[in-house]
Amino acid sequence: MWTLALLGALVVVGMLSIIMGAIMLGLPDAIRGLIHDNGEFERLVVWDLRLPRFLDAVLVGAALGVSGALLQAVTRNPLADPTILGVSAAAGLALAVGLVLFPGIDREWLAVITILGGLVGAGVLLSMAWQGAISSIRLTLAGIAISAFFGAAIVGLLASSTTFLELSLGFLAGGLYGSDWRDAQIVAPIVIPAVAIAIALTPRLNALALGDELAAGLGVLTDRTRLIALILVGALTGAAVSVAGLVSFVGLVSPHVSRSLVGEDQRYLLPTSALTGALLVATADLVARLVIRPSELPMGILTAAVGAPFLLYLVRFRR
Amino acid sequence: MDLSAQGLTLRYGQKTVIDGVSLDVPSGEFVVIVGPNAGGKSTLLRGLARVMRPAAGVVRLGGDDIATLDAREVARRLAILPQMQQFDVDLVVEELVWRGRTPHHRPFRPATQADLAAVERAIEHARIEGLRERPLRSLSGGERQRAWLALALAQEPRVLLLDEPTTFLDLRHQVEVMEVLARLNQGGLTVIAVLHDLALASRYAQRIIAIADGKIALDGAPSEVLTPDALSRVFGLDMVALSDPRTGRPLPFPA
Repeated sequence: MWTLALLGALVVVGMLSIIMGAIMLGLPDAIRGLIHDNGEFERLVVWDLRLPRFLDAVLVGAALGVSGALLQAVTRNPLADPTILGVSAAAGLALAVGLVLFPGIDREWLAVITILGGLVGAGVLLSMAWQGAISSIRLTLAGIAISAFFGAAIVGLLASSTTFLELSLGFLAGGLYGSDWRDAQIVAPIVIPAVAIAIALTPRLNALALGDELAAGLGVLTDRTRLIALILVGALTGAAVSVAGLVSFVGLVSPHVSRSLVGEDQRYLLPTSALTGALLVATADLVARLVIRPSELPMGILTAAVGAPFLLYLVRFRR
Repeated sequence: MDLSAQGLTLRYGQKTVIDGVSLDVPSGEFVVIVGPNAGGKSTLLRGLARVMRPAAGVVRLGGDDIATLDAREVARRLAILPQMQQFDVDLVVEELVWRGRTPHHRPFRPATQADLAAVERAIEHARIEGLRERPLRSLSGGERQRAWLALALAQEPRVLLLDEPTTFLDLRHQVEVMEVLARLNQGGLTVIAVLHDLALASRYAQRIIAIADGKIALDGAPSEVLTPDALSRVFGLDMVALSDPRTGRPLPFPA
């Protein structure tokens, strides 16, 4: 039920994303742009700019939402999120290294480097969380340390490069400015299978929620499950960062919103987190394009503007 | 289903906790494991359940070496209930019990009639019919323990291992849990439970195994094992024993 509502909301945001922007199209214009095939202006705006950008937003949001849900499940820690735990920063550092060391590098290779960075970040995390649930405080502290370390390295790298300003705004704050079909073509083959594997993993995540020993008694290979989940987190976060830079809080907020809608069962929670994440990023991107029209804000500012108060709310009012 | 171990050795890092234990539990037996803390009781259960890999030795379940069986196959034959759950899981009772079906599930496959029947039987056997919709955290200790027991029963195991299922429960709830186990045992389930309470052990066990320093110290019927001499050696404490006026079983306690 909630799934349908979220899907509906996503379709509405998708429509609005196609209609609204620096240039406002009317609904008839937008439909004409979608359907007609005669190279007119509306078609260009709809097919080459707005539709791919909306799809990129959906992919990025779903990747981050699922990353957050996976991290919260395997660490049994409601504060887990790829930004807080430094996976995003690790991917971002790899992206920055790629940009600075190999200017003019193909976007495909940049995505590969970024995903490898995400996997390294997930590997660091895995080494900390290997022995089952570690306390929220220790995990969060470790995450802050990892995140700060990689974050400093990113800023250092960008600052020492000649293209600092151009690069850093879209990248550090997170945004979808200029993202196109090619981005979707590069990350969709990563994000879609990874989300499918994550969904197949959900019964095991449900068992893991009962404690490692009980999960093992239920026939779940706990170490292997954790390993697969963190590989997925690294790949998904890396894919998202390669398209949108450092978008914060989506991975944290999406699973919590989803939990309040569908409950603790990972079989529902994880796909719902994908939808919630997609909706959050697509909405943030839409708003980012509208608030200072015809210019635009980095979308990550908006996810942070929603996410940070939500985190404060969690800290203050939940258990 | 029978469960046996030959030369089972279990280690945490360099520390040997279970040292070459061999035992043979025939199908349908009710075994209680007793012994001092840190003697290796819980570790032995983990090794028997394939939750922990042995450093040496073999565990056989229904004749098959569990190391060569798929983890899920082991979980369909044998369930283990670890010590009182410290995890504060945000579930209602029925959801918890459903998770016991995990080893029977395949990804992307909906629940079957068999799943539903197993869950219903588990709820009935654990006597938690009235608690289905209750959040776990709202339950009393005894109710919660029976909810976790129902989770294990939903696996439809033929061997059930329990680690201190009665600890932290008051007398009535202890007896309730043990009565549930006794009934299941009469239905053919092999039960192996770690208990600290020697009176409960004496009352319900067909066979008592005492584990100390990673080895089997005593093994036999309650009347053979629960003697003051034998227990004094195992627990390092002077013991005396009365006998239950109704059953004649020994009732040991510290002198």
